[in-house]
Amino acid sequence: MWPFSSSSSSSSSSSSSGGSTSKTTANGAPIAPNRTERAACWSARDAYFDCLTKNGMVVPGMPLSGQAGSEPEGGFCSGDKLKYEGACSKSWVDYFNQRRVLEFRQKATLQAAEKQGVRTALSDRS
Amino acid sequence: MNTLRSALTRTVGSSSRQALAQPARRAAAQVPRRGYAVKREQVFRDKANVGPVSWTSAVIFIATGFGLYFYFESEKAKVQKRKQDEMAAKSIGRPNIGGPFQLVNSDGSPYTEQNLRGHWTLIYFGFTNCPDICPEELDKMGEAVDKVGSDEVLPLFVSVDPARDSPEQVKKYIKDFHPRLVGLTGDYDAIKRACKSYRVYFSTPPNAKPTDDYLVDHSIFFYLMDPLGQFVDAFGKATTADEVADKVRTAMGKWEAAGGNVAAGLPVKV
Repeated sequence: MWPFSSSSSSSSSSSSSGGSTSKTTANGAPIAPNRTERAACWSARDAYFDCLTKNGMVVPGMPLSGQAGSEPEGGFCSGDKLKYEGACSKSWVDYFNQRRVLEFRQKATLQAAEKQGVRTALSDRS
Repeated sequence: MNTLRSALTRTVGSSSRQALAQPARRAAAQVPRRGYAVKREQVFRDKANVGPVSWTSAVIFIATGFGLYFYFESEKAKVQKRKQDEMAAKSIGRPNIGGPFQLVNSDGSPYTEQNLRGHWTLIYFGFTNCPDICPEELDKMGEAVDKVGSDEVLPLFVSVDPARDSPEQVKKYIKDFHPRLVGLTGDYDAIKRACKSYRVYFSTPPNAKPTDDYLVDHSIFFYLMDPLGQFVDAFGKATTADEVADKVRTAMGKWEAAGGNVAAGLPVKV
């Protein structure tokens, strides 16, 4: 199905369920995902991230706010995570995860700056 | 010029001196004079016979007139030529983006900047394994191309991932986008050179293996280039397809107003 071996799977990933021989180009490079495969990856990603948000997590080990909820057996959203990592190559997974963290931090910084700005404005008035 | 003025002065001088010379000549009858003075008087009289303008001065005057006329004409032509060049090139403030490159298209045939001559081009640098920005930008580019009119602008995709993006890979990839999208790739050095002339940054390591799973960090602008291959505009993520199409149409309008491909010395229909 997916041309890449997912990060969590075993090393003998080349014999995956699809079994078609045209998974790489002549120089051995895996064929880049097409439009359908990209869309599948994105929606699996979105489902996983939505699940993480519902569980109060940015990414595993990084809670959205203050304290982390108790992590369930097998990690947060393990089903969605498996689908996500199966639908996207490892480099994409790393990239999307990193971006989620960056976006979260950016938002937090902006919110903090806004609060700070409001407080400064109020103290200036008094 | 100086010669002309001195010739005129001499002529004027000679006629006024000739008037003064009348009583002097009478006086000269009694007073013996030195030879050269007689000679000079003779010259004055000869000049007076032809009138206030001598032949020499007339010739010099006319020659100077012609000279000045042709000088100003040639200067005027030079200024006009310069103005035309400026209009065609519109080179003031134009970033130095674009230039020669030697890549191959998705069929593996050589493709250079010469293939773009006479075409308006939208050009994007990316890679086939790009997670989300490249496909989004390429979709937007295709949409803009259709909004302008499908035959007007040539969409171009240039790979910045020489290790994995073989012509075969690029061919598969561009199928997902605009039907006229041309995909280019090449070896590391060829891509590096192309990126350099287009001021595009990319981070593929030169020793990346085709089987590696990695991302390429790269500039995500796409450029509008005119039929001479000169930079017109750059569009980022924030620009919509409509805005791109508008800017392309505006640029084309200006180009046509300035004389279009004919004025630029390009074939009208390629």
